[in-house]
Amino acid sequence: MKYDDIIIGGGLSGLLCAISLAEKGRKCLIISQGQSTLNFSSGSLEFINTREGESFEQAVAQLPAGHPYQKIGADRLTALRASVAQLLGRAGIDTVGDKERNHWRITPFGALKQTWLSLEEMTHFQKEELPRRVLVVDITGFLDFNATFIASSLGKMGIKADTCEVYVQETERLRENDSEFRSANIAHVLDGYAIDRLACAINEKAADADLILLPAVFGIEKDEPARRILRMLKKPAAFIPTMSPSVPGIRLQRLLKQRFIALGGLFINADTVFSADVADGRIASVHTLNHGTTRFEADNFIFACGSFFSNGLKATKDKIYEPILGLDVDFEGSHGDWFNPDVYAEQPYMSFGVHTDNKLRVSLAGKTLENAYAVGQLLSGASPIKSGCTGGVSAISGVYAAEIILNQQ
Amino acid sequence: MKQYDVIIIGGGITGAGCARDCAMRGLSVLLLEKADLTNGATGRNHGLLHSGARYAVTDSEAAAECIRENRTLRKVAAHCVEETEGLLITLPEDDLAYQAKFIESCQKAGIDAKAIDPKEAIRMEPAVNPDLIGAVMVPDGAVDPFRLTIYNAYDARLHGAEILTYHEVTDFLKDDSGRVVGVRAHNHIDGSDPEFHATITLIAGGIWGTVLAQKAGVNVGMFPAKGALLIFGHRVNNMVINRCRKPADADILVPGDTICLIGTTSTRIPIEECDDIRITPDEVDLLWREGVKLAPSLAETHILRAYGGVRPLVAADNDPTGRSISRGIVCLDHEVRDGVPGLVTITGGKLMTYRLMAEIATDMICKKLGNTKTCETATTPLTGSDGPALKTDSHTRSSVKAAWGRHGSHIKDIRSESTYETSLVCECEEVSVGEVKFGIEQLEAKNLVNLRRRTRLGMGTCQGEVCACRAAGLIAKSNACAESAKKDLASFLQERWKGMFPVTWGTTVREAQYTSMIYQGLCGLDQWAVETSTTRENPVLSKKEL
Repeated sequence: MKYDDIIIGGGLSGLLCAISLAEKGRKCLIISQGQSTLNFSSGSLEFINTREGESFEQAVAQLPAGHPYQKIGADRLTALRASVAQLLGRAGIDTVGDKERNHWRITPFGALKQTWLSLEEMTHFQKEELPRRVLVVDITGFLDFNATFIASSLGKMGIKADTCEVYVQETERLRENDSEFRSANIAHVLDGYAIDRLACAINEKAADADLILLPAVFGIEKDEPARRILRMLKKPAAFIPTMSPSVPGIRLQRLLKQRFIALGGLFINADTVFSADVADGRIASVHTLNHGTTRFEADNFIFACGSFFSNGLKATKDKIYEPILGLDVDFEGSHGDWFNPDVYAEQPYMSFGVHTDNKLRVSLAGKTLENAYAVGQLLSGASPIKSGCTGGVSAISGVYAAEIILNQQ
Repeated sequence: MKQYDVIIIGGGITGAGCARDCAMRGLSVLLLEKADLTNGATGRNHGLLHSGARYAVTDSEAAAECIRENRTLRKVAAHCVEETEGLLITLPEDDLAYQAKFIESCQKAGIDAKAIDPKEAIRMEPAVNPDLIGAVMVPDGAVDPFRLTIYNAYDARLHGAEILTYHEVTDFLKDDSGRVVGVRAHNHIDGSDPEFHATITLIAGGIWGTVLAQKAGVNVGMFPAKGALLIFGHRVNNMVINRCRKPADADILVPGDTICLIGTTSTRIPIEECDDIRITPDEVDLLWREGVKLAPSLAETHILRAYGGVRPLVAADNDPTGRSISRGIVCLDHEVRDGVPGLVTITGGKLMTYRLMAEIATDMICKKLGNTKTCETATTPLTGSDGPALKTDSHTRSSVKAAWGRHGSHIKDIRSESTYETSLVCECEEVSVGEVKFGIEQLEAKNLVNLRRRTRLGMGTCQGEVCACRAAGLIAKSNACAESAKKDLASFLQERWKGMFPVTWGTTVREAQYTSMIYQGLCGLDQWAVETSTTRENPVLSKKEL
């Protein structure tokens, strides 16, 4: 089976890379293990944390030389940010976000966090636009969202924040199982009728609010349930993500996957690439667990396998390695150096990843593989949680790798 | 001002056991603990229900005490004990001749030890190293030290004792004659420094107690010996597995609830380090290497955490390892020994003999107070262990079965009428909303670490990733303190990480990264991370702040 490009990994970076290639008519295959970190997405993509008055460009300039943004080059990043937003738009995903500065989102604990691009229905503010009076809505008995946590934090910022609890009769059957009352399941049972009733109940309590804040449990397959409740509410409203699973994240992944398939791409789910054939400094083909002796051949291979959580990287007591091919990995020191005893400090292991050149090409035993690229969280050099660049690195490196491949044709 | 018969300093198993015994004999009791119950050595050991076999060759007195208490605890603390039985195995590198001497010593101490065919041992315990050349079966078991302590304290309260956690004794009060008449304590919750008065003050604070005793002008030579352990995220063995040889490092593997533990090491440490035990890479390597010899599948098993405790051994000689020191019980009447009336110390001993230690200390106190009531703790079941077995059918929810295992007859106090109350907070350990509420309201959990010790919430495979946030929400609701609940959550995750990072490889890295992505990336919890001293957990303030 011969493809133009094979993408290993179906998370944000793999999907965006694959869609970019497929939009240009290339025959692409994604091999995905299944779920990705989009399953606990905030519904927003961060580019980089900035200080007061600082531009994206200035913040990027302070990143270490090995950071993916530095490899891509500061001059390319502005255009790539625009490309990501447009690509999402073509997939039917409407976003908000300024090209040159961050906005703020409200986290499930009520913290404000900087972010670059948010799904339209999620909270998004500039600081001067913060609401004065909000109503935070809890769903009775739902343990993965806590309106009080959010309201108490907003209260400390001088926002008048009330909470209310609404009971959703339709979800009661989920409770027959002690562990099924979770965001994704709730989203599945909230149909049109349930949403309308819920909106009525919230409207009764929202008379004084400028803004209603809702748990993001609406619209897992498509946007319509989320749009519906926003239409039905008499006051402006926005969603705050719940603890995982993330309904907006799952929807994002589904819409991107649909877009890829609509463009003619093939998506193999629940399969694992376990080895690759390398000859003359190139990857010729890969093999998967479910397809036995089948050789998946392509002109280019993109490793979008994620970091440790997604098993794109593995750690033993002695080393960090890339499990498919044993690609060169950037890491330093021994086990004692990889972790900081303060869980909230910068953790060295977070920045470990596959070694690449400036074109994001990977290497094996010190020799660059001409047709193999790494994107997303698999890349070395970023400390994504601390510097606030998780979504940005994934999205931008995915689109960038596609550009490199397309430019070579 | 209230005058107590006895103030007990220390909320470990010894203090809790003494509080129960004293209260059952009708004394008015106040127990003061500087942090939470089980915070010291009690919460940092194997949880082995010793048969005494381990000490049979080297310390026949300790062995005999162990087997007597082993039999007693099975009866009176049934809901804290799991009757797993134990194997002592001989590996090819060990001397098989030791086995005969071992069995003979066991029999002398009254321990039922019998040699079995290695093939039979493999059949009984499939996880055991199949290369074994000898096996002896002994009546070892598992005991949950958290549950045992918390239910001793709960039972003491039911008998009228007062238990104050987060009250650190800072000084002794003496009258003009030099008699200890009470203590001053610092309340870590509200910052006050109240005084408490009693006829007798009993120090049951392990290593920390002896440091404190110096303030009363009393010296007890202690021998702090650090013991390191590893917890695996899967229960690979159902029987306790020991090595049949002279006690050495990392030679006991104990199953407990959903996990198993390998330990321990024994290293003398300076007394100043007792508050902040750190596990070294060498200790981790040793425990892992030796553990794999007992049960080879441990090599592939996810390690949850590494931790360590300090044995409160009483210094007796100059043995640099501390292994030859008797685990014997030491009860000191400071009136006789040091000329300080009103003060008693109970120390030495071990988890297994806590009840006997309490009996000895309480006997001494009663004699001083002229109380003639005899000890009943060897026959009266602990609250929770005093009911019939749970009747189950196909409709019984698994969280109810799990809660019965943890709380015995107090299952009746755990609400399960609504689907909300039965819904799970902690999915690894099947802790329901009802059980969390019981932990907060009846077992006086003030924060997440307290709740973990009372319910096992966050002790399982995911180490609190999913449940910590839910439980913090329930604590916040109960105490109306959302901001301190978030601070508490932040320090709970820090405390979990302290045990995780020394063993973070394999799937543990995934868990760690996931936790960081959720709590820091998604939620921004780092904004609530407070500078906490590594030595002490942070109590949640229960003041209404909204």
